[in-house]
Amino acid sequence: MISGQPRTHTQVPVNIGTSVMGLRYKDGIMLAADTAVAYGSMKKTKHAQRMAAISSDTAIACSGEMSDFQELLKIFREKHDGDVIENDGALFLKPTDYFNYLSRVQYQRRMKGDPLWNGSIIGGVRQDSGDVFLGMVDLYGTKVEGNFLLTGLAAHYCQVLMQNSWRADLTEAEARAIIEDCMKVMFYRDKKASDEIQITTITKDQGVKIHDPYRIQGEWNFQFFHDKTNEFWRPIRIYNN
Amino acid sequence: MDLENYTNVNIFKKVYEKREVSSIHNVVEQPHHLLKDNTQHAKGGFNPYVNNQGTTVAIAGKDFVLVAADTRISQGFNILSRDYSRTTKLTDQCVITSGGMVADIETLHKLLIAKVKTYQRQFKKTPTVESLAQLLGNTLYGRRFMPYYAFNLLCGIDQNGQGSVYGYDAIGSWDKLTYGVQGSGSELGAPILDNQFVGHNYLVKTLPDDVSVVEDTGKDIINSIAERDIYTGDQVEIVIVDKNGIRVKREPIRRD
Amino acid sequence: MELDYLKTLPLGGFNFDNCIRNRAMAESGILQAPKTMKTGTTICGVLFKDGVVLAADTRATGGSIVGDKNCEKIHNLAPNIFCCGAGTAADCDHVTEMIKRQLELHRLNTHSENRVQMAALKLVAHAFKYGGQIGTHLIVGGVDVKGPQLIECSNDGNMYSMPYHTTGSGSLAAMAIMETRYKENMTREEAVNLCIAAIEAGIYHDLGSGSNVDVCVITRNKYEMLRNIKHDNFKVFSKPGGYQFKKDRVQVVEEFKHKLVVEAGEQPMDLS
Repeated sequence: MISGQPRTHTQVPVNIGTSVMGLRYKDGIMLAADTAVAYGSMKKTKHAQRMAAISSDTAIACSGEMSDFQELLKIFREKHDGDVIENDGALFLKPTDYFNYLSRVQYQRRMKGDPLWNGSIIGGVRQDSGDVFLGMVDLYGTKVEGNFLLTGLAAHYCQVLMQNSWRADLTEAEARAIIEDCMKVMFYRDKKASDEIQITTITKDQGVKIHDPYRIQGEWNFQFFHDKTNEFWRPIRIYNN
Repeated sequence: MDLENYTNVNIFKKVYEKREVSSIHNVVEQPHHLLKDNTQHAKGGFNPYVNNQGTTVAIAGKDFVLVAADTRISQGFNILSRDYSRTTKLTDQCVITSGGMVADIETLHKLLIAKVKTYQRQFKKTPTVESLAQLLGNTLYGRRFMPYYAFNLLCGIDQNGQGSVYGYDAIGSWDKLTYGVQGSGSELGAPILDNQFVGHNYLVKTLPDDVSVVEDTGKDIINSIAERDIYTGDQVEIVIVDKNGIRVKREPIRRD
Repeated sequence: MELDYLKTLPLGGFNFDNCIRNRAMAESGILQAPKTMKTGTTICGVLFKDGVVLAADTRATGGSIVGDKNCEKIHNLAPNIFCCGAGTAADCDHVTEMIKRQLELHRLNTHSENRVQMAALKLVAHAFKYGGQIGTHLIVGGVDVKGPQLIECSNDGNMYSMPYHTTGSGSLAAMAIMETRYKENMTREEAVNLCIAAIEAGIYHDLGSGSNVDVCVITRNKYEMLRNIKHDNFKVFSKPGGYQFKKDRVQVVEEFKHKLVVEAGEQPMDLS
């Protein structure tokens, strides 16, 4: 650390989890992420969990710096525990409260020039009223709400796929199919993504349920790759002048 | 190539003189933290500002104010949201509308709402638009060295019942206007506003009195900006403030 | 010899005279060297059963301003070869024009159809010669003696051949469509629809791309340019009655009148 400078943590993200996604469906919210954590271009681990339950009805999925994700979880755990102790089981923080709290934490950290380098998607379904909430916060504290949200590279790739196939009355199987489609594209085109994905569902009946990770299958057997190899376009040489 | 006498223009001389200066001796003698590389590193790769773009137009009338804004926010070439409202109600007679960085805009709007409430509790009355204009100026200047990245227009009905618009830069320089435009399409919107509404080159300076004409013009301006500014689009949000309160409506515009 | 000055004349090709000046300007911090305009774009190409489909959006941008709302990004290289261009607009225009002429000469010399491979190699050879300084990101497609071909040519001199390609700022959104919906041995209809969907993905989800969709279908001995096959983006509202520019609101400093006489027939030029 350089003396005279305030203490900062993440100025450059190191252990990076790539994009996460979230969408509303008929029963509640579905969050998804793959399980890879990249260190530069290396996959440091292929079996990390990048999503967690914050409370009984709220869950978060994070892309970006994984140490900051763990710090965020600590912040949320303290908040949640304090909430439980203070309110003694009477009133709990709602998904929107955690969302706004996260946005303020991120904004405060950006003002210090010491951001938590994450793009986070928070989803929740209130147990009492059944209100469904889905929101996204980035490292500046920008709040975005929507029916489907994507962070990182997935925002560039998969917004179209979500837009084209999202409906308010998606069943869980349909929602899962959309997520798998998107994750497949990310696996094909994002070098930091992996084919092992994990899904969290939040419903009114079951609360937060983090499912086991599983692998998605890609298509690699186009006839084109058998027929046309390097030989196809290398032999002709052009000599200028 | 001999660059010694390449040209006699001063800037070149300066460049090549500067090259000599950066020899190893100078580097060693410099304090560690003043080295160019290190100062850059200390600041880090983090830029706390991001521009989420978007355009907002405000036009004052005889007894009303009209705000027309688009609802698109973006990051880079990516659309973050297609239905973001950049206009916030402060009092029954006053709204603030901003372009710039969404996180800062929301913080600023929230802070202003809190300040309005404090004012109401303290003085047992609602702040006038003039007071809010001064308040906003001071609030912005209070963050002179890490400004709110928000370009604001404060619009409301003043004590005489006239519409008024106050325009600001990011660090709190402000002025009373009769119309204003802020955000990514401001360069495109300003000329047509200058032409259509009371301008400095006009002999007869009267505020427009027909809401529907002003509304059509405001809508058309946002539509026209959306034609040529890539960061403007999706929806136009019309906010009309008059003595009856605040009305909001939205209409779709081009989405590409 | 009297014509010595000929040796001092430029020999053709690019002029690099200002390079040192521009570098000095940039380093001085006083002046900035001029920057090139780049187009945000979505372009794509797909191989189908008996041909190639190329497609492009029609927005040209300079920074954040739309310069042209309905430009053409699909260039003709030869009767059987077309090419979509992204990157620096001027480079795309001029390089394709140059290669077009070379291909035509080759066609006339050899009395045979051009090969797509050759066009692509000429493009990358040119791009590589300038070390990536020529901002051409092209998708070349055509049908030649070896069948339908689709090749992407980067500005750094790289070329790839895949059954589907997307390039430009909207390439990510378009690629998502391609990755999920591409099948082998598609019909012409399917391929055109896939391309339209991919370009629309770029149009609606990438700010650098917009306006309409152009499609070019190339099959054996035939090509079809479907210009503005989709045109859904237009101004939805204009002020009814238009705008009036009231003269009396601006101060008239001086007023004078001239009488203008127009005589019929040819008039001698006034040389006074």
